[in-house]
Amino acid sequence: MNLQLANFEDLLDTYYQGTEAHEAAEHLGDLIRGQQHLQLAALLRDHRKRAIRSQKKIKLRRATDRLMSCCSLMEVASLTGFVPELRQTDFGMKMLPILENKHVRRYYEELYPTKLPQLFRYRLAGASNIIENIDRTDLNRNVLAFLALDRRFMEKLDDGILLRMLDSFTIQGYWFSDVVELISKPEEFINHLLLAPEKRDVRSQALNEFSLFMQFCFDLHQLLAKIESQLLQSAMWNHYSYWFYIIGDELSKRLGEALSQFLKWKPEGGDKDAAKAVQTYVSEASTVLEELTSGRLAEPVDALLKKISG
Amino acid sequence: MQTHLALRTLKGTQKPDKDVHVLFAAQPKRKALLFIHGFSGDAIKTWSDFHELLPGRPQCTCRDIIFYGYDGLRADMHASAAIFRAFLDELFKSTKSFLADNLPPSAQRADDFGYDELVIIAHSLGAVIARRALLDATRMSLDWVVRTKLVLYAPAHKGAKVTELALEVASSFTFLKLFGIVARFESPLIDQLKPESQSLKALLEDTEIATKDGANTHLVARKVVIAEYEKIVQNESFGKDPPPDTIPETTHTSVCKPKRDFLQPLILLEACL
Repeated sequence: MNLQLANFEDLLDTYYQGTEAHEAAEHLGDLIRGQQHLQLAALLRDHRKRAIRSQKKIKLRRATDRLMSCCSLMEVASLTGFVPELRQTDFGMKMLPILENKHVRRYYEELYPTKLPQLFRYRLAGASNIIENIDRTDLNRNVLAFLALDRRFMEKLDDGILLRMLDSFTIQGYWFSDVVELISKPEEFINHLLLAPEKRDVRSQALNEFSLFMQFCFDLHQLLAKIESQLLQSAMWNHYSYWFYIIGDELSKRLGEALSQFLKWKPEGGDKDAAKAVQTYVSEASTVLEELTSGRLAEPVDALLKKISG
Repeated sequence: MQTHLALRTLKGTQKPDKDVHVLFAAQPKRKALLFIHGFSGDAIKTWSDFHELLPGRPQCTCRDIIFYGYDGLRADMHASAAIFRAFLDELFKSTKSFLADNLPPSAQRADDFGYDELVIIAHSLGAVIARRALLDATRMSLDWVVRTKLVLYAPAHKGAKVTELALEVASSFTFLKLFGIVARFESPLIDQLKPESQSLKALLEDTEIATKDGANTHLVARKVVIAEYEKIVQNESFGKDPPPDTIPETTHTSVCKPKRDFLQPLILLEACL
C-alpha cells in the first residue's frame, strides 16, 4: 500500500468530498473560469461593511471557509510528509487557480486572514516544498493525534452553537452571557449538563459544548507541548487561528468569565478538597487559554511566510 | 513508521446510531481489537491514550483497532447488547462492504479478507453489554462468536452505583462529583446495574450454563483488570473468569487510561494478544 497516497485519499474524503468544500471549489472555479469578477467580489466581500443576507451566498461563504480549512489541513499534512507532493494531483491543479484569484486571496489574506492556505498556495505554485525532517515515528504519531483531535473538533464543535456564541452571535435569543449565568447556579448547571440530548435547549447544548471545547483546548495544548518542531507546532495551532488569534481576545475573555463562575460555587460543608479541585481546574484552564490565545505560536509560520513571499 | 491510517468515524450501512471510530492497519493480518466503553463513556476518551499508544506496539501493528460507541447513559442494557451483537454480526459477515465503505481506494483489501480473531476490550458497563451480546450470539449459534476473546477493565457485571458515576463522566469538569450535588438523573441502568438486579443475575446464570464442562471458552474473560480505589463497581469474581489483576493507584475511570508514563493498562492487554 502507498501510505502517503492512502493518507491523501483519506483527507480528501474527510475534508473535501465530505464537507461543502468541494461545492465551493466547483462554484469558485466556474466563476474564475468565466471571469465573473463582480460576482466573485460580491460573494467574497467584507461582511462587516455590507452584511450578507442571501441564503445562497451565506451557504457559499460557509463552503468557502470549509475549503480554506481543507487547504489549511493539506498544508499541515504536506509539511509533515504525511501526503505525497500535491502539485500534480487533480486536487492541487484545481486549487491553485482558486487560491491565486485576487478576490479569493483578499478573502483569506485580508478580510479573514489565515496563514496556512497562503503557504499551501506557495507550495502548489512550486515556491515552497518544505517538509519537516524530524523523527518519523514521533511525527506520524503526532500527525495522527492531530487528525483525531481535529476530527473531534469538526464533528462536535464546528457546527455547534457554542463557537457561534463565542463569535458574538445570538442563538434563538440567547447570548453567551446566558450560559455564564447558568454556570453560576451549580444545581441548575448540573441538571442541564445531564439532560438527554433530545431534551436539551440552547443553553444546555451550549453548556455541553463548553465542556467539550475546554477538553479540546486541554488536548490541543497537550499535543502542541509534545511536538518538538516549532514550525509544526505553529502550523497545527494556525489551523485554529480564527478562534485562538483573530477572535482570541474575545474568546479568552468570555471563557474566562464562564470559568470564574465555578470559583463562586460553595462546596457542601465547606469541603476543602472540592474548593481546591475547582481552583486547580480553573487555574489550569486559564493558563491553557492564555497560552493558546497569546499569539506566541503564530511566529514560526509568520516567519516562513515572510521568507517565502520574499 | 506509520502502522495505521488516520482515525476515522465509521460510515456505511454497518454504522450503529452512535459513532464508531476505527484505526485501520496499513498491513493487516486478519485480527482486530474492539474497545467498548462503559457507563456514559465516550468511544475514545474512555480509553485514552490507547488510540495513540497501541499503533506503535509490536503486537498491534497489524491489527485493526475499533472504538465502539453507544448510549451508555440512558439506553436499556439489553437493547444496547442487541445493537452491539448486530454490529458484530455485520463486522464478521459483511466485512467486505464494511471495508469498502471505510477504506480509501488505495488501501482496499483482498475480497476474501476477514477477521480470524477479534479481542473485545470492555470497560465497566461495556463488560455487561459485551457479555450479553456474546451470550446471545452463542445461543443463536452465530459461527463468528468463537473467534472473539474478552478482556475486561473494571467490569460492572456484579453491580454498580451509576448515579455517582454520572456526574464524574458526563462532562470534562472533573471536580463536579466533589460538590455533593444531588443530580436529577433518570436511566434504566440505575436499576439494571444494582448488584441484586434480575438482569445481572440472569447474566451470571446464563454464562454459567453456557460455560459448563469447559464449553464456550470465549465467554470466559481472558483477563480481568480492576482498580485499587474502586468506588463504582463491585469487584467480585464472575463465573469462571480468572482472578483479577489490580492496577495500583487507579480508580474506576483511570484503570483503562494508559499514558506514555503509565503503561500498565496497555501491558496487561498485550499479555492477552
